[in-house]
Amino acid sequence: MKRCIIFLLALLLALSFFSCKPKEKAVEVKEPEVPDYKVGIVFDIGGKGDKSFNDSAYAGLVTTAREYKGYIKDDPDKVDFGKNIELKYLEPKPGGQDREILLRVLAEDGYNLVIGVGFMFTDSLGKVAKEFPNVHFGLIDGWIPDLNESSNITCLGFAEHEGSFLTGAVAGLMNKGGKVGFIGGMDIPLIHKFHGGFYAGAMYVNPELRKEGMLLGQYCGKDPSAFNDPKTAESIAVNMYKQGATIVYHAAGGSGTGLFKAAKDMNKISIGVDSDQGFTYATAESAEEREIAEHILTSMLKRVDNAVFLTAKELIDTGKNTGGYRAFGLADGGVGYAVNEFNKKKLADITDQLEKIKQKIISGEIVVPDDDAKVKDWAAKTF
Amino acid sequence: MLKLKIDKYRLYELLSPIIGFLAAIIVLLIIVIVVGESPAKAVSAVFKFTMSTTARLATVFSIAIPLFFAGLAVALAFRAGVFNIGAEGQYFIGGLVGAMAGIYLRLPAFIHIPVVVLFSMIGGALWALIPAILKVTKGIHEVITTIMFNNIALALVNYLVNEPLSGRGTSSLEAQTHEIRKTALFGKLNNLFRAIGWNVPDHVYLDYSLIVAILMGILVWFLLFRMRYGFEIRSVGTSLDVSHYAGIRVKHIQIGAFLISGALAGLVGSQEIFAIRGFYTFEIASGLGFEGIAIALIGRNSPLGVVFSAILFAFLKQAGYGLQLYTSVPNAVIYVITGLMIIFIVVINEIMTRYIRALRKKEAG
Amino acid sequence: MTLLDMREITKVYPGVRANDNVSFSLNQGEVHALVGENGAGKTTLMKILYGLQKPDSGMICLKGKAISIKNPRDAINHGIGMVHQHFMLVPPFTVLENIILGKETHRAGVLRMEEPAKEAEKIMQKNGLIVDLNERVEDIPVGLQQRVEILKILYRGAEILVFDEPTAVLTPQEVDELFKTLKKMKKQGKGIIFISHKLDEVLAIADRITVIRRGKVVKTLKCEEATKPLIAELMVGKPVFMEVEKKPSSPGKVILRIKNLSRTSERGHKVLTDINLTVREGEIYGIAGVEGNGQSELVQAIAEHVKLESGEILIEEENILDWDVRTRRENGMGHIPEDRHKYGLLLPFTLADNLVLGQHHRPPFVKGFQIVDTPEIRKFARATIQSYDIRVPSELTPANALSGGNQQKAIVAREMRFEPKLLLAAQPTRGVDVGATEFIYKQLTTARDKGKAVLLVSADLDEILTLSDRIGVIFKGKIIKEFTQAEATREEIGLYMTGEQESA
Repeated sequence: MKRCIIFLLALLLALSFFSCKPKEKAVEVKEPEVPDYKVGIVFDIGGKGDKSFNDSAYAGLVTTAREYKGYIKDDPDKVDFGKNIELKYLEPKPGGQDREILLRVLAEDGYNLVIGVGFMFTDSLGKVAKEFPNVHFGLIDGWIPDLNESSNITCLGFAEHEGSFLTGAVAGLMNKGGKVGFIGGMDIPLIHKFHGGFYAGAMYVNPELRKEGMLLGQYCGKDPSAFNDPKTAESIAVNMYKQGATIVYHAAGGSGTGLFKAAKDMNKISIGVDSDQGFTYATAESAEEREIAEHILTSMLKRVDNAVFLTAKELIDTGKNTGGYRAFGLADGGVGYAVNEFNKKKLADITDQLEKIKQKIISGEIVVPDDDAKVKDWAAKTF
Repeated sequence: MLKLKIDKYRLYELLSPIIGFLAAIIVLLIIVIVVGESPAKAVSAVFKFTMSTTARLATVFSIAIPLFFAGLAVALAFRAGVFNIGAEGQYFIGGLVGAMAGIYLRLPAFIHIPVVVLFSMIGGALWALIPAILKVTKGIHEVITTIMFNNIALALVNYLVNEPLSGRGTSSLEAQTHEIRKTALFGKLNNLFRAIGWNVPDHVYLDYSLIVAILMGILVWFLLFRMRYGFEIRSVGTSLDVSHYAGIRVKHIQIGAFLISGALAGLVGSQEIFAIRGFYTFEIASGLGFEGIAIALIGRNSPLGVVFSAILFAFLKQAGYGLQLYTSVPNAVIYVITGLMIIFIVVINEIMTRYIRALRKKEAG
Repeated sequence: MTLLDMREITKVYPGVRANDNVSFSLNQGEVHALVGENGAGKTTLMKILYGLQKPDSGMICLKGKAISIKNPRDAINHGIGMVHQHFMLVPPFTVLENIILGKETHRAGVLRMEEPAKEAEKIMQKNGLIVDLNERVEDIPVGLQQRVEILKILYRGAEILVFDEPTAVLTPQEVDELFKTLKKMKKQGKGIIFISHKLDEVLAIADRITVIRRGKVVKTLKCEEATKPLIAELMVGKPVFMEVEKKPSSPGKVILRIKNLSRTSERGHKVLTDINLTVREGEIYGIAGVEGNGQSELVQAIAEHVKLESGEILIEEENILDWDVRTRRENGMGHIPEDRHKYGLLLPFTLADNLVLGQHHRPPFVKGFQIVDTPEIRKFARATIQSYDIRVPSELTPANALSGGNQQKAIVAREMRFEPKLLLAAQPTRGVDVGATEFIYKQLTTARDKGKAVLLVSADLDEILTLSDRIGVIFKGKIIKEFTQAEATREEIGLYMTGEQESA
């Protein structure tokens, strides 16, 4: 028993040694400069290094740090341009169940602006925002009803139809005599936005495609699982290619992998969505996935980085954020199409044309329809 | 004289989880040093995030509530010598059944809340029924059946919430049920705590589930140590043969304990469903059923012990978030650390217990 | 010549001096018996000798030279061997394989069997320990298994042999065989330490007898000066009367009637064949037999709700086959199980809880809505502890803190307190010291005199002979002979027990 007690004492001693230290240190560490603003972000599943939304959001943090002499706290990459702005990101567990806890953690710790990356934060962010009326919350790519300017939530959406118009134009320009297809995930208004923009873009650059039956469109289903149903997407894609489609664009979330597989198997072309999916595949570990990258021409980009930066900018410049809804379009760089080292050459010939179209949208010369149901009227007016 | 000695061992037994905890802290510090962060910062991060303010301390207690239910459920089964690994599936089902009662029954609040609690328990118990019967009648080991039933429960809940019970339109993509009626939602007790001078902010969920937890703790204690049925449960868990010889209906007891365990497990999700979310979803925290095993183990299968070990686990969970918020320790390492700390506490606790038991035996023989 | 000298051995466990300045010596060609109540310190001393425990002080000398024994391997190397109460044999291995286990002869890793077989043969002849080397141990009777155990030790060249309760599992005939062997080994100059409870045996075989009580050597006697009452008194510390005063029995109506009972084990072996017996009010019916001949199965069939192949069990002429244990108990069946740790006591529970176990579900121990009435239980327990002389500090002491004798007393008290009509007593004094044995005998006869029917099962023939009014001998699952107490003799029963008189 003596040994046991000695062991216990040793442990206590060791602990007291460690526990003394922080107390002294705590005095020294006490942040010498208090930052003007604290901005926190909670990534979605995958965390930093997902080559998608999270990385894009991280890029937004880096831009913010650079522009306003801020730093990203506890970041292994040591992004540090000054102490004016404190930036911090948290990553949820692999299952993502603790999104809500992480939002609360940041809000509780005195962050002025807390951003949730991705629509999966919709429910939890709405709830946490109610608990912290003095903290402003940003929800990327999600939609919470009944907000107004004085709400402490801003839904940071994107003008998907504008971005899709550009990918539609890419499809129209690259299409050689075939048809063009669109695969949606769940049949909801949001996805019809992509649908309408894409059709309009394709018709705008390619008169062939204005004919009846040249544009194919289909949805994977009517419930949320439609966003995670590669099997259905694949069979739709195979069907479309068989019907003569040369290029197919998807706005179907996780179901999109079905499209890519079909494109690879049938040696056709596909277009990705949200993030630069071609780049993700091209830099993947497995050779098979890299092969898929050959068949992804480009992707419609949601520029999460710009959304993050612009929201932080609003806070820092004006001292507060406006609640409600904000859609980032082509004008503020909120959407775009992906150009990377792998597809640069393929797109080289049409880059100028796309740039012109982009300017026309920004200037208002082209008003992009935000639903495929409106495309017919739009076409009648435009052509 | 003899009595005194026993108390001495009791004390050692109480000390052993604390020693395990201290060892776990040392492991934490070693890992923190290895990944190049300052141990002082890590300790202050943990401290700051778990007990520096009322809110944070209250958060630890809040997180401990579902863990307590899970630990209590597993502990009760252990007491009868039954290994309920199925708490996981039982709370997914129990929560759904309770949520259904909360959505589809129209009752005044003072009845509705007890009703959803009861339904959650019934749901959990029902999900434990088949493994219990299979064990007792066919001798199929409950570990195997309950693990399988966990998977079945997850698949079933996933289907139900996506299809027949889905209550979401198009605005959110997460599969979930309809909203639970206001009358069935668990209110917060924060005002009550404020009244006694404990300033718990609004974002901390110390809600009716705390009352349910306290109530269940007392009930289980009463059952185990004051009622004949509990006496028989403990007897069966101590020795099947002796109990059988004494005329105790061993099979009834095992089924009964299994069902009670399932009923308690059915409450694991109640805080999240009725207090935090207000609807049922497949996304409610998972894995608590397994944590319940470790919690029961450290708590020595006693209701009071489970209170402490649930708080300890809640502390560890919060410590993880503290490290994420205040230090540069990578997330993956934090999972490793919290996992290792749990293992350390369990293992050291177990080793100490055995050592003490051996000492005691030596003394007796 | 002195072979072994253990000098002033002291071993202290927290709170207990298990061995207090114990000195013990063993000469060549001597049988030295070590006797004492359970917990007196015999086992600790032998554990120290065999390297399982380290003494706190004292020394061990072998042939005049001090040695240190750190583990059993050291002990074996010094020529010390131990025949454990529970055999350390590998059942599916053959006799030869068991003998050589731990001292295998091999050439380039390949086991050699011929040389060891020859050597084993030689040892067998020399000591009169004949076993078929090629039989599997699980297929031979217990008596032969013990021989294998002894052979194993001799094969390792043991000079000192420790026998821990070797006769507990043997028939009288087998005991005689064992004693012959011991005498042969004695002649060869080996030293034998003999631990036993059975004073008759000790007196029959030992040259010297050392009595230990509470960790101290009370006295070492020469065989000539020892008598049974003297040893018993030294062990217990007060005079003991082993002879049970028994009034002639006056049996009344039949309480237990077993008709044509047959039972098959789970593996499909026939374990009980056509058992017919009756036990009446006011009599003790003893079942004699070598262990493993169906006694346990018979008791189980009466006490528990198990599947039978055929037959009936009647209590007061009512068929009880469909009753579960609780119903049987509620209808007046008490049961002292054969293994008190396995079946009798909830070891971590308090003595009070254990004393009401089996009746705990009935008033006065529960009140209201099935709530345990702790004060009532404690009150009952205190009364029982007093009237049955169970020695504990308090009724709240856990059962595992009690000595074996007190544990058994507690079980007997529990089963008697509820005044059963039928008492099943299986091995009621196994592993129990003299004092407790005396007490239990008294209780069983008291029960009989009060008009209870007692079914006694024991492997100890003396116990059967002392207590029973009628005796049935069980062999291979059959009651092959019944005696009244008057006509029973040790020798005849012994013959039936080994089946040699089966045809009769």
